Amino acid sequence: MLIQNAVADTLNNTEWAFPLAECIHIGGFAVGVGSIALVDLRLLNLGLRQETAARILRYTEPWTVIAMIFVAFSGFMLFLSQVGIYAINPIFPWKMYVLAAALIYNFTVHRRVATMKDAPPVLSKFVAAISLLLWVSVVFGGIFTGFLE
Amino acid sequence: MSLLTFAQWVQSTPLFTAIRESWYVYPAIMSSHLAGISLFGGMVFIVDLRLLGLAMRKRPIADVVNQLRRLKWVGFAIVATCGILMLGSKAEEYYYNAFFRAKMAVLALILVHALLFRRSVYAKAAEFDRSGTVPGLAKLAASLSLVLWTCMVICGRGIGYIEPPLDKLHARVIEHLHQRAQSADRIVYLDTRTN
Repeated sequence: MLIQNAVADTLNNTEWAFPLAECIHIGGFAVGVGSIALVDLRLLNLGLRQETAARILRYTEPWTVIAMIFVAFSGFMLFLSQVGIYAINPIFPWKMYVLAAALIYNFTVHRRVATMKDAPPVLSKFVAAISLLLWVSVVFGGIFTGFLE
Repeated sequence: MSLLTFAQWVQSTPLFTAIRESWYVYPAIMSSHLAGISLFGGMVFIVDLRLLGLAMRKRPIADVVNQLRRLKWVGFAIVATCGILMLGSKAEEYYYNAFFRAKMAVLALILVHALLFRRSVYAKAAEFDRSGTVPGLAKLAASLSLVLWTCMVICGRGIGYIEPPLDKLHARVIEHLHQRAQSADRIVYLDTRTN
């Protein structure tokens, strides 16, 4: 079954493998979410005001995508190491729903508005606030998953 | 007063006791700590990569460094506040935690880094733009910053892996005695009812 797999064997039987995967997960989302937040802070008119949001998006998007690949890969490893525990965790499915929403939102609505010329400020701010809210919720979901074993 | 008794006193104050005793406040603070890291870490990362010539290459270094300076402080304030709240609520456990001590040592190095390179690198961003080259010292500062912040994340995660020495914890002993007293009360109460 899925509960017993090669990844689980390695992560559960090597002392440093699980913490290493966790550190990659945390470092990765710091970069991934942080680079998205730079665009959001611009949309909210709070930071990097001398650049346009579209430009910041263009500069940071490769880093966002690379970081997300690391986060997703390390996260999947962590999941595989304890499938049984995640399967019965009350918070984990919600984290995945919000994550799916955040990802879809990021590459559709968020990107569309950030690259829009002359987007109305109200729209920009609203879209940025929702983006930050979604990503912060994913982080909360991750921590609460760990606390509600 | 030793550091240990100080830690015990800090966590016994009403605020930190309330944080510790609630099931959701501590994880909520930890989540905010991590959400703050993701906002703030992204900024540190972008500034360092710009100095190394790996990101936002077409934008002036001074723009990137100066525009993010204040936001980085705001992010740091959020992360540090949440960190202090977590530390205070479980000060005694942190006292025994080797990763926590390592993390504070890395934090001290980060402060030294800031003091060392603030004038020689970060205040000179406009000069680098004018001359068109980034000196080795600036690249060293950026690389060290990336290494130090990575160490902070590793030590931070490591804290959770050290089990507190339960036999030494003052707070646990008091909690245990309290529970015992409560269950003893209940037995007495039940006895009087049946009589």
